[in-house]
Amino acid sequence: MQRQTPYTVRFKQEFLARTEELHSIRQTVEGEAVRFGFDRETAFRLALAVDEASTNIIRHSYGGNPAQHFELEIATTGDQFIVMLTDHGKSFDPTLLPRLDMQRYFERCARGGLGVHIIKLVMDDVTYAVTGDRVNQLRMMKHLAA
Amino acid sequence: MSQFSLSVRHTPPTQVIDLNGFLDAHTAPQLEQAFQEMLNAQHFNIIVNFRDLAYISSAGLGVFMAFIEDVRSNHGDIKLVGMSPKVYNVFDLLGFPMLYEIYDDEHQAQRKFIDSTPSIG
Repeated sequence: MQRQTPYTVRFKQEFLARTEELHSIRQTVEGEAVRFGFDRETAFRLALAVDEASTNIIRHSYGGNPAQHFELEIATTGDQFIVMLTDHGKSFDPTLLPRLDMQRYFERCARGGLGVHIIKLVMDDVTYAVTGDRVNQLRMMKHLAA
Repeated sequence: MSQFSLSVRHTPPTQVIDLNGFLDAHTAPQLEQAFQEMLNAQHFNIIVNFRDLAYISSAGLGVFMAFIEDVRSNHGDIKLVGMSPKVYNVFDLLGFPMLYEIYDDEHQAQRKFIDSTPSIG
């Protein structure tokens, strides 16, 4: 019989849906990633990906309403570093966006969509679920081992 | 807490924007305003110095995308200099070196602008 790998919640906190919070969200993610064993460069990229996901919640799910809030949870199981963002705003599934072709993006001098592209480049797995009463949950996972 | 600041220097024939701190969705509007003011004043030879910038997210990158077309259609350019490896990696991750000239130091970018400025007379 397979033994279950323990799931450890390392951080869980609510943040106001305002861009002022991004700095402390990044510091938290980077710190936890380094403590889990990631090198500095990967920890920096993980913080960037979570910044992008949080920015999308603040700007798009809540349309810039700073009175709203969302939850950041960081957990680990086995060699997996898992970041969960939960909000109660407008649902938006980033996994449905097609992969950006950067050459075309530059030719058109386009704007927007870069955040989701960064999340997909940095993370090993991204899933999005809407449950019950408008609970949007974005789960991003990165393996410790390359 | 001041997370980000910028200042502008005039070093003919260019305008230099010095960035300091963390450029994200919270602070990017400050850079957007600086670019807008520069374009309003008809300055199109722009160098952005990243030497003291610790962080950039896509909100910051989006500002460069927003102005590059206008600047180039006015025969100018936005050249980027002095990035730390961490900040350069974000640009590189998205392939931005395809679109922007990135130099180690400001003098190289200055030289490019001087060499490409048509002589008067």
